[in-house]
Amino acid sequence: MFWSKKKKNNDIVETNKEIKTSIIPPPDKVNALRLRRTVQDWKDKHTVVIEMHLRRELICLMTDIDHELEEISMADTFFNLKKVNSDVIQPLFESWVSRESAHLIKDAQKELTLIHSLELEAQSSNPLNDINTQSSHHHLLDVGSAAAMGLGGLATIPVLGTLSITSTGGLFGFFAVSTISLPILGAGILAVGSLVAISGYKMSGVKTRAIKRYRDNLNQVIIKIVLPNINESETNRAAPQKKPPPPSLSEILQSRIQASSDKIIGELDL
Amino acid sequence: MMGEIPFSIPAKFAAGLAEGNLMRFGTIIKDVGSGRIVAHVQETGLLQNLVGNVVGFPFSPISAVSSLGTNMQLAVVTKMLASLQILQIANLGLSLTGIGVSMVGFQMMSKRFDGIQSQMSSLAKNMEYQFFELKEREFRLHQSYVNSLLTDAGTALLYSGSNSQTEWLRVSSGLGLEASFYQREVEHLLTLQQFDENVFRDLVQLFSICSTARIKCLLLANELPAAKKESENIAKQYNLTFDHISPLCLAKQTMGREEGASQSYDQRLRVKLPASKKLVSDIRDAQDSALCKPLLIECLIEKGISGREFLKQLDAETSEPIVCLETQK
Repeated sequence: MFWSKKKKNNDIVETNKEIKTSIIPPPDKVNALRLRRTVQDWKDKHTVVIEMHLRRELICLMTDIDHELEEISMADTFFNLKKVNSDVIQPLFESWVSRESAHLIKDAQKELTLIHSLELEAQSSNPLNDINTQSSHHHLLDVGSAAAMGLGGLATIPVLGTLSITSTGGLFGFFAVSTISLPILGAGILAVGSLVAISGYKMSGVKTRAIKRYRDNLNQVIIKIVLPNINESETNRAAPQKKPPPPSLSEILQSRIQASSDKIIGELDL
Repeated sequence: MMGEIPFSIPAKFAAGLAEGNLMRFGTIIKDVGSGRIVAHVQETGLLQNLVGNVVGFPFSPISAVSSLGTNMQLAVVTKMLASLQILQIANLGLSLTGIGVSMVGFQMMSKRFDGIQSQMSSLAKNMEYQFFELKEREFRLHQSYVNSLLTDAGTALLYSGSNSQTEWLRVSSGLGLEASFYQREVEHLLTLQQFDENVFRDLVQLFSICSTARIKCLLLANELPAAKKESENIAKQYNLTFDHISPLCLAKQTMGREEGASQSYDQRLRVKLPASKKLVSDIRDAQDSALCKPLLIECLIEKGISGREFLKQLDAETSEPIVCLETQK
């Protein structure tokens, strides 16, 4: 079968490695203010880049999924859709999330490192200045606690906790590990697969109708996982007692940028 | 051009800035090699007379100011544009908090305040935002209070002896309260689902005028340490209010619940983003400017320059729209 057993990756995907850089704080106030502004611009730029990139790439993902769905046989449509979902769609989605997250974080990290270098070059006359790049750490996410987030949830990364321990005497902690729990990511998609597989028995229509229904459900779930849901956030504002929806992939990645920016600026403002 | 205060014209730093030996950050020119502050950029009364009445002035691109040439003295406009070019100032967002400490006269401040406030009222009527309907009366109260404070501050120039100082301190305190009011309104606006960029700009300007006038009163009263402390507080308030905004959030809020939109959400977001990016960039410039202000006042303290004399000379300047206060003379 076309979905012949692929190696299921239930491990955690690391979208980037933790990079901690220690620098001496800028020697004068103006340098500190300049660094502050540069970091703000970096944050403003990358929050936009993340969302717009995901919106753009989501279309490619949907096309890839459509392509896979076209290959499904009639029998699989009615009897094995759940398996198609877990063996084909879910790995495809997981791979996309890993790839795009890693790309976006790496891009932002690269630019942040460049900002650092520029600041350090400006201080090169001071012999006390030094860069001390510490070894990278691989933080593993507690899958158990992440699972409690439920359907469609993305594991939140303990970025603030990680950053807080790096703050000592001018030690700047930048990106902590961005991990995404793949089993959690897949939960929403699996649910769609189950739903359509069951309802498939009741349908008297042909393959195309079943596939269309499956595709529509799948698209909705994927969009909900990847992009912030405007309607939900508005509903939530109107009824604040309601439990807020889990953060989307875009929101999670943007929060990494925001947290890093806050951290650096927090140190500069001390 | 000016008396004992070491002002110079921006052209003096042109070569250094062009070659990269000097750089400008906010309202500061610094030596790249040593990190030393070389000068503080200052707008004069002439610049404020020139552009103070332009609608949306702090947010306008420089090219928009050049169109004033037909109504203003062309030579002054040309000089101003040349200075801004030398200083590598790409837009006038820096002027949101005044380049350096705004030297605009209290009368003009009051006039500008009225202009912005009426602009806001017309926006409120057009859009019928519940927020503004409820707030309009309250806004009028604050407007009249700020106007009376600014008038009092101007009149205090004529008071004798220590009376003027007492009056400026009173006005400064009142303006502090008003600045807080407008700051809260800006913060509130940012939490609304329906974000209006024009109203936001107006509120930010009202906040800025109150804050700037407060510092000016303290400088006139020669309370330089207090002025420095207050300018630090204001810079902190700017950061608290604006650090968290982002072009993406503002673009989404601007879209609000647009009904009947023929374009997709993605398309509409792409259309809104350039304006939001520009707005955030202007706000960041204003933050930089506010952060530089305590350093200027520190320089005045170190050099033993009287706040009142400093303002008087800048207000009286008739040939240069922008000058630089040199730190090493």
